[in-house]
Amino acid sequence: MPFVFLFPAMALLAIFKVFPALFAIYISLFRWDVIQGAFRGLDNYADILWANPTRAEAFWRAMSTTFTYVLITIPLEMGLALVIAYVLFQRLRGRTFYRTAYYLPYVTSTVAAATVFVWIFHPQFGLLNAGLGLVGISGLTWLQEPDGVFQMIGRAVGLDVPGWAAGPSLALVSIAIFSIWHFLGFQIVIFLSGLGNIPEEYYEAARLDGASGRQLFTNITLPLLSPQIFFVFTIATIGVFRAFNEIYVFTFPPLLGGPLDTTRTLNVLVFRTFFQQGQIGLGSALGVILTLLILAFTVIQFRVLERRVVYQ
Amino acid sequence: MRNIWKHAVLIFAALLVAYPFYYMVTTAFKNMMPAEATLIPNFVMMTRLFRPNDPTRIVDGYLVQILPFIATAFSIFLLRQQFLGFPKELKDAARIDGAGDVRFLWSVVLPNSVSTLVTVAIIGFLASWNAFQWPLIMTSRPDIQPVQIGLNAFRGEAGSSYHLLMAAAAFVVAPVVALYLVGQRYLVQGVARTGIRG
Amino acid sequence: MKRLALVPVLALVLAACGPGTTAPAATAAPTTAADIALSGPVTITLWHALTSDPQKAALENAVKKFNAENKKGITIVPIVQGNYTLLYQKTLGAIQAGALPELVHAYESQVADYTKAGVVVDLDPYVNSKTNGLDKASQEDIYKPYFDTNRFAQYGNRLLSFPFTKSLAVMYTNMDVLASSGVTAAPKTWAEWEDAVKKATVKDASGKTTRYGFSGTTDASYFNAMVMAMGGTIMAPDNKTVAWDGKEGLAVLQMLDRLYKGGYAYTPTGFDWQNDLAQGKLAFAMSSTSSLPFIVAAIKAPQNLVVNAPPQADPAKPRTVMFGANIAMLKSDPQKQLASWEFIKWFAETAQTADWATKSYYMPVRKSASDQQVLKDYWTKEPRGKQAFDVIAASIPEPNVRGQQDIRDVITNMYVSVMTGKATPEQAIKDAGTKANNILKENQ
Repeated sequence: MPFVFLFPAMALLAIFKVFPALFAIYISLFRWDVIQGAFRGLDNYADILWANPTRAEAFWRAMSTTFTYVLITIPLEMGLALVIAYVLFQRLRGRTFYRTAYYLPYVTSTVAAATVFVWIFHPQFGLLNAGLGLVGISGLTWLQEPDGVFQMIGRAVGLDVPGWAAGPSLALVSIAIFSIWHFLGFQIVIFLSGLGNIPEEYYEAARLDGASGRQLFTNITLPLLSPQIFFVFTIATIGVFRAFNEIYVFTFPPLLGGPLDTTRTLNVLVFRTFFQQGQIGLGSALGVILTLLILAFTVIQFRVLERRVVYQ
Repeated sequence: MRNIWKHAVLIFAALLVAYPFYYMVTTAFKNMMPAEATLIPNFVMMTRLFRPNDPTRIVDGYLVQILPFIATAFSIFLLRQQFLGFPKELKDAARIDGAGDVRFLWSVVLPNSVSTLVTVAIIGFLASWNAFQWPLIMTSRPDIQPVQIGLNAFRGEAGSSYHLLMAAAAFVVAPVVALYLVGQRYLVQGVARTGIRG
Repeated sequence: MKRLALVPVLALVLAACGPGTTAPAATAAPTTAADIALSGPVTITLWHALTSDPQKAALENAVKKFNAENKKGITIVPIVQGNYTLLYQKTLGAIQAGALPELVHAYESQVADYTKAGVVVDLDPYVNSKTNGLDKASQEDIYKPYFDTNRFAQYGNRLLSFPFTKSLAVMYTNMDVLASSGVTAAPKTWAEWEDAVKKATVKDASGKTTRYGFSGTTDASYFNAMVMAMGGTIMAPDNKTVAWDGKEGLAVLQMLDRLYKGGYAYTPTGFDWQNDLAQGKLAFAMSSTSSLPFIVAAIKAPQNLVVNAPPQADPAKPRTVMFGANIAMLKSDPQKQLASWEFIKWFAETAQTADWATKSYYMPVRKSASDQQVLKDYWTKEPRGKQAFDVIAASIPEPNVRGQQDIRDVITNMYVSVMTGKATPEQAIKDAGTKANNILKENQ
């Protein structure tokens, strides 16, 4: 009887999730350049990682862009979400309104939101430049700007920042801003539910002992919220690793992953190798590498972080 | 219209699976491989499985947009959590009264899971309303393509008429906002309980 | 239990996918079927990328006309597949799945990819067929660059596609803006042009530009067009290395570098430049002839808008890029292939191509089109149409080698790195040239 119930959904998951993954692995073992060619074993992987200089350069560049994107998005997004959730939880007036407002971007589609953000980031009459113009900063080109942000800040204050410390391009930072705006509400909701699970008695007891607001936060809230923090960290990181839609809608046209390839993350490189270069074998191999990376990262996260997480 | 039919099937399938399913590694399927890497295999498979009589339309239809999303790890997970809350004694009592599995599911479990089902429906609606990449690749006829694709095409057509672009975006977002305001409680509950990011 | 459920499903799916994934043989058998006669009704599917009107409607109406009038039982079904990138994606998928349309709209580099998969029909036998082909006069009537661009050196110089939605890289000029800057005639040479761009630029008290001389689209085709107009070439004669990295290419980059650094030029967001040009906030823009209807729709006084070949090193021998997409015939059976060819041939007939030009704003493919009343009437109404038509003679196709798509991205990046001050023109062009040559080597 359970089998009868299980079959439809298992079958669908097998067809649409498991099989394509296996098929992609199969494709990645062949020279599949528009059409299936000779069996190459792991040569596609070798080409991507070191053997073919052009491919290897593109891959390592995309790796570094991906990790940069993770580094600028995740800490900021989580920090903001944590603070906002904490404030909202303190019986703030109009709390429901704020929660609604913060969560709304999350249910908005990337395409619709990007339509508006293209206008916000517009170099000539965008909202952001208009705002910055009031404080005397002008002429930023946001999504078109390949220069590193540290470099730009350095230039503004008269410091010469070397190339290796240029930082992520302003274009990548712009996309990160969008991404943070888009996913913030999701994290806030998770944190709010975690906050709701912390027994009020803990706070009362600590207050009797004379703990300050800051102490309450660091000694009670943070440790007891760590399952949620850990969870959000994992989910958000995987989400950023797989980022595609926002980069697609903001950079294409003219060049997917532009300007100057500074927003070409791994997943964008996969797409490009497939559909702009017609290299299906190499594209599949890249996809497999990205999958392994996500898996490895998830495993490490669980192993390392789980020990530090306090479960109630 | 498509969404209503799709969600009837979706809820039914999820219900069937969640009931006996206690130990499943759910998120693994969802996170297994980025969609971009499996697009070609998926495309080939869909074409082979659902090739309609007219070969040129590839998979172009409603089925290709509905079928892969009927069984989602998310809804299974959500319902499973809900069902775990039913005391085992209730099941035993039902059996003594002569109610089989289907009967129990229908007359005991279902009426008591309405709010979770509403959550599943709302989240499913949002996912299909916002669907972009899959239909972009799989379909080509405008009359069956979902609204996000239309909006993206309009971005190209409207060029720099920003007033038109903003109006179009507002149209596309309005139903979502309305639904969200009405069903906010269920949505937030679902996300908070499972923590699955759309 | 779980495994039990999976096994039959996977077997089923594998069985469904197995045979279709093996590719068709890559060798193109010589077509001897070009001389046959059509024996019965045939339905042909055409995948195209004309997503918006007026072009989409123009094609649909043309197809309707062909279906009604061909008297051979041929029905063409046009299906829009999204933009060119999406169309390419879907065609790639269709090749893997073995379910192809009979006709597909494609850029040259895409045709080269499809040919590699062995699914493209060589059109030479059809063009030259005694019974179904084009007569000598017709072959000569079609502009030579239109044939050249569809002959692929990498595939034995065969004709693998046919001109379909062709356009030209031209310079749009707002004469009103020029007049207010004291320039009375559209500049003919690059030196005059650079001077006019500078004069047309207006800056406010803070030094911020309020009216620009030039808007630079980062698309590789416009760089190529400028290189040609500077007197350079794009590829070395043997097609093994690029030639745009020579002194003419450098001159183009240096000129653009001066214009950007001085605040005379900007990179537009999307199609903003069309509004800017129409509203007098911009003097010059380089774009395709098919942008014309959009600019005309936005401008109050269309007579102020002029369409020209880009400025030239030698105005007596003007040169620019001819681009736009083509139509390729994919392998099916002799009857369908012949029916597909009938459509291609009809579409290139004088009356049809003239009518097409007036409705789609693409270029006619035949010289004789200019004698057609419909085109003359259109030119009276829209003199810029004639201005664009006159540029055809100056046009040269872009390279159609495999890897060209990647090289275009290299050019775009080179352009952006100079415009944003990341590299000097000398460095940028040297690096880009090396990269492009590597790509060519890899795609031999």
